[in-house]
Amino acid sequence: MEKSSSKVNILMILSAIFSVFSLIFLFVAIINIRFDYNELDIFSLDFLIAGIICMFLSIYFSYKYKQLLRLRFLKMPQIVTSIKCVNKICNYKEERLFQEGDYIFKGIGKCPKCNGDLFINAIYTLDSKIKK
Amino acid sequence: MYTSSNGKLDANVIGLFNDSISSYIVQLIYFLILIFTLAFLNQRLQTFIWLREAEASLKRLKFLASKSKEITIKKIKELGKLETDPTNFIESFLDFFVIEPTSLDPYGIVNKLKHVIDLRNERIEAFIKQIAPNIPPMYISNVEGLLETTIGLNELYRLVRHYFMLGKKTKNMIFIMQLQMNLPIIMRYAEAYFNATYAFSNGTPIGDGVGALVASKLMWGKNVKPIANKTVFSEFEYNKRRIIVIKAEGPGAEVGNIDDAIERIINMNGGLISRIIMVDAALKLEGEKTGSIAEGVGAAIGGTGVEKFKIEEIATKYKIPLDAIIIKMSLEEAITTMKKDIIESADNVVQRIFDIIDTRSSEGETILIVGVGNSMGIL
Repeated sequence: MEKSSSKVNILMILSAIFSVFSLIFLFVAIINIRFDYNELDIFSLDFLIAGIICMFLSIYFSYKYKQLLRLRFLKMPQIVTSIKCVNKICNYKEERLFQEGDYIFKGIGKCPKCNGDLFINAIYTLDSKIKK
Repeated sequence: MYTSSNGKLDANVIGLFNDSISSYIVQLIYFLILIFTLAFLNQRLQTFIWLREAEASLKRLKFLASKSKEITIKKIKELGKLETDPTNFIESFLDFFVIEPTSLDPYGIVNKLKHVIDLRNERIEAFIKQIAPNIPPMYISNVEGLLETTIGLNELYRLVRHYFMLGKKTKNMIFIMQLQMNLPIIMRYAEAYFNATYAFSNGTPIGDGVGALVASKLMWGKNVKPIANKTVFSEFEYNKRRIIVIKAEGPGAEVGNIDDAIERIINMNGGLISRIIMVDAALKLEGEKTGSIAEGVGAAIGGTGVEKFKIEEIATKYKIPLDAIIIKMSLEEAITTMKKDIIESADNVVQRIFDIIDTRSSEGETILIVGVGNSMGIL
Protein backbone atom coordinates (compact mmCIF):
# COMPACT_ATOMS: atom_id res chain seq x y z
CA MET A 1 0.00 0.00 0.00
CA GLU A 2 2.83 2.40 0.87
CA LYS A 3 4.55 1.52 -2.38
CA SER A 4 1.41 2.49 -4.24
CA SER A 5 1.07 5.81 -2.41
CA SER A 6 4.71 6.69 -3.16
CA LYS A 7 3.97 5.94 -6.84
CA VAL A 8 1.05 8.36 -6.68
CA ASN A 9 3.32 11.05 -5.25
CA ILE A 10 6.01 10.47 -7.89
CA LEU A 11 3.43 10.77 -10.68
CA MET A 12 2.05 13.95 -9.21
CA ILE A 13 5.53 15.50 -8.90
CA LEU A 14 6.48 14.47 -12.45
CA SER A 15 3.29 15.94 -13.82
CA ALA A 16 3.91 19.20 -11.96
CA ILE A 17 7.59 19.42 -13.08
CA PHE A 18 6.73 18.82 -16.73
CA SER A 19 3.89 21.32 -16.68
CA VAL A 20 6.22 23.99 -15.22
CA PHE A 21 8.88 23.21 -17.86
CA SER A 22 6.25 23.25 -20.58
CA LEU A 23 5.04 26.68 -19.47
CA ILE A 24 8.60 28.07 -19.37
CA PHE A 25 9.54 26.65 -22.80
CA LEU A 26 6.33 27.79 -24.43
CA PHE A 27 6.68 31.24 -22.90
CA VAL A 28 10.24 31.61 -24.21
CA ALA A 29 9.16 30.33 -27.63
CA ILE A 30 6.27 32.80 -27.83
CA ILE A 31 8.46 35.73 -26.74
CA ASN A 32 11.02 34.86 -29.46
CA ILE A 33 8.40 34.44 -32.16
CA ARG A 34 6.96 37.82 -31.23
CA PHE A 35 10.24 39.62 -31.79
CA ASP A 36 11.45 37.70 -34.83
CA TYR A 37 8.16 37.00 -36.52
CA ASN A 38 9.29 37.65 -40.07
CA GLU A 39 12.11 35.14 -40.18
CA LEU A 40 12.37 31.50 -39.24
CA ASP A 41 13.84 31.39 -35.78
CA ILE A 42 15.41 28.06 -35.05
CA PHE A 43 15.92 29.01 -31.41
CA SER A 44 12.20 29.64 -30.81
CA LEU A 45 11.25 26.50 -32.76
CA ASP A 46 13.40 24.39 -30.45
CA PHE A 47 11.69 25.87 -27.42
CA LEU A 48 8.29 25.35 -29.02
CA ILE A 49 8.98 21.65 -29.65
CA ALA A 50 10.43 21.20 -26.13
CA GLY A 51 7.39 22.97 -24.65
CA ILE A 52 4.95 20.77 -26.55
CA ILE A 53 6.81 17.59 -25.56
CA CYS A 54 6.80 18.68 -21.90
CA MET A 55 3.10 19.48 -22.15
CA PHE A 56 2.32 16.01 -23.49
CA LEU A 57 4.46 14.39 -20.77
CA SER A 58 2.67 16.43 -18.12
CA ILE A 59 -0.73 15.37 -19.51
CA TYR A 60 0.42 11.74 -19.63
CA PHE A 61 1.63 11.74 -16.01
CA SER A 62 -1.47 13.53 -14.74
CA TYR A 63 -3.62 10.96 -16.59
CA LYS A 64 -1.65 8.14 -14.96
CA TYR A 65 -1.99 9.89 -11.59
CA LYS A 66 -5.77 10.14 -12.00
CA GLN A 67 -5.93 6.51 -13.12
CA LEU A 68 -4.07 5.40 -10.00
CA LEU A 69 -6.31 7.49 -7.78
CA ARG A 70 -9.41 6.01 -9.40
CA LEU A 71 -7.98 2.61 -8.61
CA ARG A 72 -7.56 3.45 -4.96
CA PHE A 73 -10.61 5.54 -4.10
CA LEU A 74 -12.90 4.24 -1.38
CA LYS A 75 -16.49 5.12 -0.77
CA MET A 76 -17.00 5.79 2.92
CA PRO A 77 -20.67 5.53 3.72
CA GLN A 78 -21.94 8.21 6.07
CA ILE A 79 -24.15 6.41 8.56
CA VAL A 80 -26.75 8.21 10.62
CA THR A 81 -28.44 7.06 13.82
CA SER A 82 -31.94 8.36 14.35
CA ILE A 83 -33.14 8.62 17.94
CA LYS A 84 -36.76 8.96 19.02
CA CYS A 85 -38.72 9.30 22.23
CA VAL A 86 -40.96 6.42 23.29
CA ASN A 87 -43.69 8.88 24.14
CA LYS A 88 -45.66 9.36 20.92
CA ILE A 89 -47.09 12.69 22.03
CA CYS A 90 -43.62 14.10 22.75
CA ASN A 91 -42.42 13.58 19.16
CA TYR A 92 -38.80 14.28 20.13
CA LYS A 93 -36.37 13.31 17.36
CA GLU A 94 -32.63 13.54 17.09
CA GLU A 95 -30.08 12.49 14.51
CA ARG A 96 -26.39 11.93 14.98
CA LEU A 97 -23.54 10.07 13.30
CA PHE A 98 -23.48 6.32 13.90
CA GLN A 99 -21.38 5.15 16.84
CA GLU A 100 -20.11 1.62 17.23
CA GLY A 101 -22.45 -0.38 19.44
CA ASP A 102 -25.59 1.35 18.15
CA TYR A 103 -28.46 -0.89 17.09
CA ILE A 104 -32.12 -0.38 16.31
CA PHE A 105 -34.35 -0.41 19.43
CA LYS A 106 -31.41 0.18 21.74
CA GLY A 107 -32.43 2.34 24.70
CA ILE A 108 -30.18 5.37 25.15
CA GLY A 109 -31.17 7.46 28.09
CA LYS A 110 -33.92 9.90 28.84
CA CYS A 111 -35.74 12.41 26.65
CA PRO A 112 -34.70 16.03 27.40
CA LYS A 113 -38.23 17.17 26.55
CA CYS A 114 -40.53 14.83 28.48
CA ASN A 115 -38.10 12.61 30.42
CA GLY A 116 -39.43 9.54 28.60
CA ASP A 117 -37.15 6.78 27.31
CA LEU A 118 -35.13 7.43 24.19
CA PHE A 119 -34.41 4.65 21.72
CA ILE A 120 -32.69 4.24 18.35
CA ASN A 121 -35.45 3.92 15.77
CA ALA A 122 -33.34 3.84 12.60
CA ILE A 123 -29.79 3.47 11.36
CA TYR A 124 -29.27 4.29 7.72
CA THR A 125 -26.74 5.44 5.21
CA LEU A 126 -26.63 8.81 3.51
CA ASP A 127 -24.76 9.61 0.30
CA SER A 128 -21.23 8.22 0.15
CA LYS A 129 -18.19 10.29 0.97
CA ILE A 130 -15.14 9.63 -1.16
CA LYS A 131 -11.87 8.92 0.58
CA LYS A 132 -8.63 8.72 -1.36
CA MET B 1 3.91 22.37 -74.27
CA TYR B 2 5.90 20.51 -71.61
CA THR B 3 9.16 20.80 -73.52
CA SER B 4 11.68 23.58 -73.49
CA SER B 5 13.09 25.20 -76.56
CA ASN B 6 15.83 22.56 -76.92
CA GLY B 7 13.23 19.77 -76.88
CA LYS B 8 14.02 18.48 -73.38
CA LEU B 9 11.38 18.00 -70.70
CA ASP B 10 10.76 20.95 -68.45
CA ALA B 11 12.37 20.56 -65.00
CA ASN B 12 9.07 21.36 -63.32
CA VAL B 13 7.41 18.59 -65.24
CA ILE B 14 10.11 16.12 -64.24
CA GLY B 15 9.71 17.23 -60.62
CA LEU B 16 5.99 16.83 -60.85
CA PHE B 17 6.37 13.40 -62.37
CA ASN B 18 8.85 12.36 -59.71
CA ASP B 19 6.62 13.78 -56.97
CA SER B 20 3.58 11.90 -58.15
CA ILE B 21 5.56 8.64 -58.32
CA SER B 22 6.91 9.05 -54.82
CA SER B 23 3.57 10.11 -53.39
CA TYR B 24 1.96 7.19 -55.19
CA ILE B 25 4.46 4.81 -53.56
CA VAL B 26 3.94 6.41 -50.14
CA GLN B 27 0.17 6.15 -50.51
CA LEU B 28 0.50 2.54 -51.60
CA ILE B 29 2.62 1.74 -48.55
CA TYR B 30 0.10 3.44 -46.28
CA PHE B 31 -2.70 1.54 -47.96
CA LEU B 32 -0.87 -1.77 -47.58
CA ILE B 33 -0.14 -1.06 -43.90
CA LEU B 34 -3.80 -0.24 -43.37
CA ILE B 35 -4.94 -3.41 -45.12
CA PHE B 36 -2.40 -5.47 -43.18
CA THR B 37 -3.48 -3.89 -39.87
CA LEU B 38 -7.17 -4.36 -40.58
CA ALA B 39 -6.78 -7.87 -41.93
CA PHE B 40 -4.30 -9.38 -39.50
CA LEU B 41 -3.90 -7.14 -36.48
CA ASN B 42 -7.39 -5.88 -35.72
CA GLN B 43 -8.21 -8.79 -33.43
CA ARG B 44 -4.83 -8.49 -31.74
CA LEU B 45 -5.46 -4.81 -31.25
CA GLN B 46 -8.94 -5.42 -29.84
CA THR B 47 -7.59 -8.14 -27.54
CA PHE B 48 -4.87 -5.77 -26.37
CA ILE B 49 -7.47 -3.10 -25.51
CA TRP B 50 -9.65 -5.63 -23.66
CA LEU B 51 -6.67 -6.92 -21.74
CA ARG B 52 -5.71 -3.40 -20.68
CA GLU B 53 -9.25 -2.80 -19.41
CA ALA B 54 -9.30 -6.13 -17.59
CA GLU B 55 -5.90 -5.38 -16.05
CA ALA B 56 -7.16 -2.07 -14.65
CA SER B 57 -10.18 -3.83 -13.10
CA LEU B 58 -7.94 -6.57 -11.75
CA LYS B 59 -5.75 -3.99 -10.03
CA ARG B 60 -8.85 -2.44 -8.44
CA LEU B 61 -10.06 -5.89 -7.34
CA LYS B 62 -6.68 -6.63 -5.80
CA PHE B 63 -6.81 -3.34 -3.93
CA LEU B 64 -10.34 -4.04 -2.64
CA ALA B 65 -9.45 -7.60 -1.59
CA SER B 66 -6.32 -6.50 0.27
CA LYS B 67 -8.12 -3.57 1.93
CA SER B 68 -10.95 -5.87 3.01
CA LYS B 69 -8.42 -8.28 4.49
CA GLU B 70 -6.76 -5.38 6.29
CA ILE B 71 -10.12 -4.28 7.81
CA THR B 72 -10.92 -7.85 8.90
CA ILE B 73 -7.55 -8.35 10.58
CA LYS B 74 -7.78 -4.97 12.32
CA LYS B 75 -11.30 -5.75 13.57
CA ILE B 76 -10.38 -9.20 14.86
CA LYS B 77 -7.34 -7.78 16.64
CA GLU B 78 -9.44 -5.01 18.16
CA LEU B 79 -12.35 -7.18 19.31
CA GLY B 80 -10.26 -10.12 20.45
CA LYS B 81 -7.67 -7.86 22.15
CA LEU B 82 -4.95 -9.90 20.48
CA GLU B 83 -1.29 -9.49 21.19
CA THR B 84 -0.15 -11.84 18.44
CA ASP B 85 -0.63 -11.17 14.75
CA PRO B 86 -3.42 -13.35 13.25
CA THR B 87 -2.59 -12.36 9.63
CA ASN B 88 -1.12 -15.73 8.64
CA PHE B 89 -4.08 -17.68 10.04
CA ILE B 90 -6.58 -15.39 8.32
CA GLU B 91 -4.71 -15.48 5.02
CA SER B 92 -4.72 -19.26 5.00
CA PHE B 93 -8.41 -19.29 5.90
CA LEU B 94 -9.28 -17.09 2.91
CA ASP B 95 -8.99 -20.16 0.68
CA PHE B 96 -11.68 -21.94 2.70
CA PHE B 97 -14.17 -23.71 0.44
CA VAL B 98 -17.35 -25.75 0.58
CA ILE B 99 -18.02 -28.73 -1.66
CA GLU B 100 -21.67 -29.05 -2.53
CA PRO B 101 -23.14 -32.56 -2.30
CA THR B 102 -23.53 -34.43 -5.55
CA SER B 103 -26.88 -34.15 -7.29
CA LEU B 104 -26.41 -37.28 -9.42
CA ASP B 105 -28.92 -38.94 -7.14
CA PRO B 106 -31.07 -36.02 -5.90
CA TYR B 107 -32.86 -38.07 -3.24
CA GLY B 108 -32.09 -36.60 0.19
CA ILE B 109 -29.92 -33.82 -1.21
CA VAL B 110 -31.60 -31.16 0.95
CA ASN B 111 -30.52 -32.83 4.17
CA LYS B 112 -27.04 -33.38 2.79
CA LEU B 113 -26.83 -29.69 1.83
CA LYS B 114 -28.07 -28.62 5.26
CA HIS B 115 -25.44 -30.83 6.86
CA VAL B 116 -22.66 -29.29 4.76
CA ILE B 117 -23.88 -25.72 5.43
CA ASP B 118 -24.10 -26.38 9.18
CA LEU B 119 -20.58 -27.77 9.06
CA ARG B 120 -19.36 -24.67 7.25
CA ASN B 121 -20.95 -22.34 9.80
CA GLU B 122 -19.55 -24.36 12.69
CA ARG B 123 -16.11 -24.35 11.11
CA ILE B 124 -16.06 -20.57 10.59
CA GLU B 125 -17.25 -19.99 14.16
CA ALA B 126 -14.66 -22.39 15.54
CA PHE B 127 -11.93 -20.64 13.54
CA ILE B 128 -12.88 -17.25 14.98
CA LYS B 129 -12.92 -18.65 18.52
CA GLN B 130 -9.55 -20.29 17.87
CA ILE B 131 -7.74 -17.17 16.66
CA ALA B 132 -9.49 -14.74 19.00
CA PRO B 133 -10.78 -16.56 22.10
CA ASN B 134 -11.57 -13.31 23.93
CA ILE B 135 -13.96 -12.02 21.32
CA PRO B 136 -17.38 -11.13 22.89
CA PRO B 137 -20.06 -13.67 21.80
CA MET B 138 -22.25 -10.87 20.42
CA TYR B 139 -19.58 -9.95 17.87
CA ILE B 140 -18.74 -13.48 16.68
CA SER B 141 -21.45 -13.45 14.03
CA ASN B 142 -20.34 -9.99 12.83
CA VAL B 143 -16.78 -11.25 12.43
CA GLU B 144 -18.20 -14.31 10.66
CA GLY B 145 -19.91 -12.00 8.15
CA LEU B 146 -16.73 -9.96 7.85
CA LEU B 147 -14.72 -13.09 7.09
CA GLU B 148 -17.29 -14.26 4.55
CA THR B 149 -17.20 -10.98 2.62
CA THR B 150 -13.40 -11.04 2.64
CA ILE B 151 -13.45 -14.64 1.40
CA GLY B 152 -15.95 -13.61 -1.31
CA LEU B 153 -13.80 -10.70 -2.48
CA ASN B 154 -10.67 -12.81 -2.44
CA GLU B 155 -12.42 -15.49 -4.49
CA LEU B 156 -13.64 -12.90 -6.99
CA TYR B 157 -10.12 -11.53 -7.35
CA ARG B 158 -8.59 -14.97 -7.85
CA LEU B 159 -11.23 -15.90 -10.43
CA VAL B 160 -10.75 -12.73 -12.49
CA ARG B 161 -6.98 -13.12 -12.26
CA HIS B 162 -7.32 -16.73 -13.47
CA TYR B 163 -9.30 -15.78 -16.57
CA PHE B 164 -7.09 -12.77 -17.23
CA MET B 165 -3.89 -14.84 -17.10
CA LEU B 166 -5.45 -17.67 -19.06
CA GLY B 167 -6.56 -15.24 -21.77
CA LYS B 168 -3.13 -13.63 -21.83
CA LYS B 169 -1.34 -16.97 -22.04
CA THR B 170 -3.53 -18.58 -24.66
CA LYS B 171 -4.25 -15.31 -26.53
CA ASN B 172 -7.76 -16.69 -26.75
CA MET B 173 -10.04 -13.88 -27.80
CA ILE B 174 -13.17 -15.61 -26.49
CA PHE B 175 -11.75 -15.89 -22.96
CA ILE B 176 -10.68 -12.27 -22.90
CA MET B 177 -13.92 -11.07 -24.48
CA GLN B 178 -16.04 -12.97 -21.95
CA LEU B 179 -13.97 -11.57 -19.10
CA GLN B 180 -14.13 -7.99 -20.36
CA MET B 181 -17.87 -8.18 -21.04
CA ASN B 182 -18.60 -9.56 -17.57
CA LEU B 183 -16.30 -7.15 -15.77
CA PRO B 184 -18.83 -4.32 -15.20
CA ILE B 185 -21.15 -6.66 -13.28
CA ILE B 186 -18.23 -8.37 -11.48
CA MET B 187 -16.90 -4.98 -10.40
CA ARG B 188 -20.35 -3.95 -9.16
CA TYR B 189 -20.45 -7.06 -6.99
CA ALA B 190 -16.91 -6.45 -5.79
CA GLU B 191 -17.68 -2.88 -4.75
CA ALA B 192 -20.83 -4.12 -2.99
CA TYR B 193 -18.86 -6.82 -1.16
CA PHE B 194 -16.33 -4.24 -0.10
CA ASN B 195 -19.03 -1.92 1.24
CA ALA B 196 -20.46 -4.93 3.08
CA THR B 197 -17.08 -5.25 4.81
CA TYR B 198 -17.67 -1.80 6.32
CA ALA B 199 -21.19 -2.72 7.38
CA PHE B 200 -20.04 -5.93 9.09
CA SER B 201 -17.09 -4.25 10.78
CA ASN B 202 -19.34 -1.51 12.21
CA GLY B 203 -22.33 -3.77 12.92
CA THR B 204 -24.83 -1.55 11.07
CA PRO B 205 -28.13 -3.04 9.81
CA ILE B 206 -27.95 -4.16 6.18
CA GLY B 207 -30.68 -4.06 3.53
CA ASP B 208 -31.23 -7.80 3.78
CA GLY B 209 -32.26 -7.30 7.40
CA VAL B 210 -35.47 -5.47 6.54
CA GLY B 211 -37.53 -8.63 7.25
CA ALA B 212 -35.94 -8.88 10.69
CA LEU B 213 -36.59 -5.16 11.21
CA VAL B 214 -40.30 -5.62 10.46
CA ALA B 215 -40.47 -8.52 12.94
CA SER B 216 -38.55 -6.48 15.47
CA LYS B 217 -41.02 -3.60 15.12
CA LEU B 218 -43.83 -6.04 15.90
CA MET B 219 -41.94 -7.63 18.81
CA TRP B 220 -40.72 -4.46 20.45
CA GLY B 221 -41.78 -4.10 24.05
CA LYS B 222 -43.04 -7.70 24.22
CA ASN B 223 -41.59 -10.72 25.91
CA VAL B 224 -39.05 -12.37 23.62
CA LYS B 225 -38.04 -16.02 24.03
CA PRO B 226 -35.62 -18.30 22.17
CA ILE B 227 -37.25 -20.92 19.93
CA ALA B 228 -34.41 -22.42 17.91
CA ASN B 229 -30.68 -21.91 17.53
CA LYS B 230 -30.09 -18.13 17.31
CA THR B 231 -33.79 -17.58 16.65
CA VAL B 232 -36.35 -15.87 18.88
CA PHE B 233 -40.10 -15.52 19.00
CA SER B 234 -42.70 -13.38 20.68
CA GLU B 235 -46.47 -13.55 20.90
CA PHE B 236 -49.19 -10.99 21.47
CA GLU B 237 -52.84 -10.39 20.77
CA TYR B 238 -54.18 -8.22 18.00
CA ASN B 239 -57.89 -7.72 17.28
CA LYS B 240 -58.76 -10.95 19.13
CA ARG B 241 -56.21 -12.94 17.11
CA ARG B 242 -53.08 -14.57 18.48
CA ILE B 243 -49.98 -13.34 16.69
CA ILE B 244 -46.64 -15.13 16.87
CA VAL B 245 -43.58 -13.40 15.46
CA ILE B 246 -40.28 -15.11 14.61
CA LYS B 247 -36.94 -13.55 13.76
CA ALA B 248 -33.22 -14.19 14.06
CA GLU B 249 -31.69 -13.14 17.36
CA GLY B 250 -30.15 -9.65 17.24
CA PRO B 251 -28.27 -7.41 17.30
CA GLY B 252 -25.51 -9.71 16.04
CA ALA B 253 -25.28 -10.70 12.36
CA GLU B 254 -27.49 -13.78 12.66
CA VAL B 255 -29.93 -15.23 10.15
CA GLY B 256 -31.18 -17.83 12.61
CA ASN B 257 -32.74 -21.20 11.93
CA ILE B 258 -36.06 -19.92 10.66
CA ASP B 259 -37.18 -23.31 9.30
CA ASP B 260 -36.62 -25.06 12.62
CA ALA B 261 -38.41 -22.26 14.47
CA ILE B 262 -41.47 -22.43 12.16
CA GLU B 263 -41.60 -26.21 12.47
CA ARG B 264 -41.40 -26.00 16.26
CA ILE B 265 -44.11 -23.32 16.52
CA ILE B 266 -46.45 -25.27 14.23
CA ASN B 267 -45.87 -28.48 16.18
CA MET B 268 -46.32 -26.66 19.49
CA ASN B 269 -49.72 -25.47 18.25
CA GLY B 270 -50.66 -28.88 16.86
CA GLY B 271 -50.71 -27.51 13.30
CA LEU B 272 -53.40 -25.00 14.23
CA ILE B 273 -51.83 -22.01 12.54
CA SER B 274 -54.27 -20.32 10.20
CA ARG B 275 -51.76 -18.35 8.16
CA ILE B 276 -48.00 -17.80 7.81
CA ILE B 277 -46.89 -14.36 6.67
CA MET B 278 -43.26 -14.20 5.58
CA VAL B 279 -41.41 -10.91 5.08
CA ASP B 280 -38.11 -10.79 3.27
CA ALA B 281 -35.90 -8.58 1.11
CA ALA B 282 -35.89 -9.44 -2.58
CA LEU B 283 -33.78 -8.40 -5.54
CA LYS B 284 -35.38 -5.68 -7.61
CA LEU B 285 -35.25 -5.45 -11.37
CA GLU B 286 -33.46 -2.46 -12.88
CA GLY B 287 -35.88 0.45 -13.00
CA GLU B 288 -37.84 -0.63 -9.93
CA LYS B 289 -37.82 1.60 -6.87
CA THR B 290 -35.77 0.62 -3.84
CA GLY B 291 -38.03 -0.14 -0.91
CA SER B 292 -41.11 -0.83 -3.00
CA ILE B 293 -43.32 -3.56 -1.54
CA ALA B 294 -44.88 -6.48 -3.37
CA GLU B 295 -47.17 -9.17 -2.13
CA GLY B 296 -47.59 -12.77 -3.22
CA VAL B 297 -47.85 -16.32 -2.00
CA GLY B 298 -45.17 -18.87 -1.13
CA ALA B 299 -42.19 -19.13 1.16
CA ALA B 300 -40.32 -15.84 1.00
CA ILE B 301 -36.85 -16.97 2.00
CA GLY B 302 -33.62 -16.98 0.04
CA GLY B 303 -30.38 -18.81 0.60
CA THR B 304 -29.55 -22.30 -0.53
CA GLY B 305 -33.16 -23.50 -0.60
CA VAL B 306 -32.82 -25.85 2.37
CA GLU B 307 -34.95 -23.71 4.66
CA LYS B 308 -37.46 -23.00 1.91
CA PHE B 309 -37.87 -26.73 1.31
CA LYS B 310 -38.55 -27.42 4.98
CA ILE B 311 -41.03 -24.54 5.34
CA GLU B 312 -42.92 -25.54 2.19
CA GLU B 313 -43.05 -29.13 3.40
CA ILE B 314 -44.54 -28.34 6.80
CA ALA B 315 -46.95 -25.73 5.38
CA THR B 316 -48.16 -28.28 2.84
CA LYS B 317 -48.49 -30.96 5.52
CA TYR B 318 -50.86 -28.80 7.60
CA LYS B 319 -52.35 -26.97 4.56
CA ILE B 320 -51.34 -23.60 6.01
CA PRO B 321 -51.58 -20.67 3.55
CA LEU B 322 -48.26 -18.91 3.00
CA ASP B 323 -48.34 -15.16 2.36
CA ALA B 324 -45.19 -13.46 1.15
CA ILE B 325 -44.31 -9.79 1.40
CA ILE B 326 -41.12 -8.67 -0.27
CA ILE B 327 -39.23 -5.39 -0.08
CA LYS B 328 -37.30 -4.74 -3.25
CA MET B 329 -33.68 -3.66 -3.42
CA SER B 330 -30.54 -4.22 -5.47
CA LEU B 331 -27.84 -6.69 -4.50
CA GLU B 332 -25.58 -3.82 -3.41
CA GLU B 333 -28.33 -2.42 -1.19
CA ALA B 334 -29.05 -5.86 0.26
CA ILE B 335 -25.53 -6.38 1.59
CA THR B 336 -24.62 -2.83 2.55
CA THR B 337 -25.93 -0.51 5.29
CA MET B 338 -29.67 0.05 5.02
CA LYS B 339 -30.90 3.01 3.01
CA LYS B 340 -33.53 5.40 4.30
CA ASP B 341 -36.03 4.17 1.65
CA ILE B 342 -35.76 0.62 3.01
CA ILE B 343 -36.10 1.73 6.65
CA GLU B 344 -39.23 3.69 5.74
CA SER B 345 -40.74 0.77 3.85
CA ALA B 346 -40.57 -1.36 7.03
CA ASP B 347 -43.33 0.78 8.61
CA ASN B 348 -45.50 0.31 5.52
CA VAL B 349 -44.95 -3.46 5.69
CA VAL B 350 -46.10 -3.53 9.33
CA GLN B 351 -49.29 -1.77 8.24
CA ARG B 352 -49.69 -4.20 5.34
CA ILE B 353 -49.35 -7.16 7.75
CA PHE B 354 -52.12 -5.81 9.96
CA ASP B 355 -54.30 -5.32 6.87
CA ILE B 356 -53.72 -8.96 5.87
CA ILE B 357 -54.54 -10.14 9.39
CA ASP B 358 -57.74 -8.06 9.43
CA THR B 359 -58.94 -9.16 6.01
CA ARG B 360 -57.74 -12.75 5.71
CA SER B 361 -58.13 -14.15 9.20
CA SER B 362 -60.94 -14.53 11.69
CA GLU B 363 -61.12 -13.86 15.41
CA GLY B 364 -59.52 -16.51 17.59
CA GLU B 365 -57.09 -17.68 14.92
CA THR B 366 -53.33 -17.89 15.31
CA ILE B 367 -51.15 -16.16 12.73
CA LEU B 368 -47.44 -16.71 12.37
CA ILE B 369 -45.35 -13.80 11.12
CA VAL B 370 -41.78 -14.51 10.04
CA GLY B 371 -39.21 -11.77 9.56
CA VAL B 372 -36.53 -13.29 7.37
CA GLY B 373 -33.07 -11.75 7.10
CA ASN B 374 -29.88 -10.78 8.81
CA SER B 375 -30.53 -9.22 12.20
CA MET B 376 -27.26 -7.29 12.38
CA GLY B 377 -27.80 -3.97 14.12
CA ILE B 378 -31.43 -4.82 14.95
CA LEU B 379 -32.53 -5.97 18.39
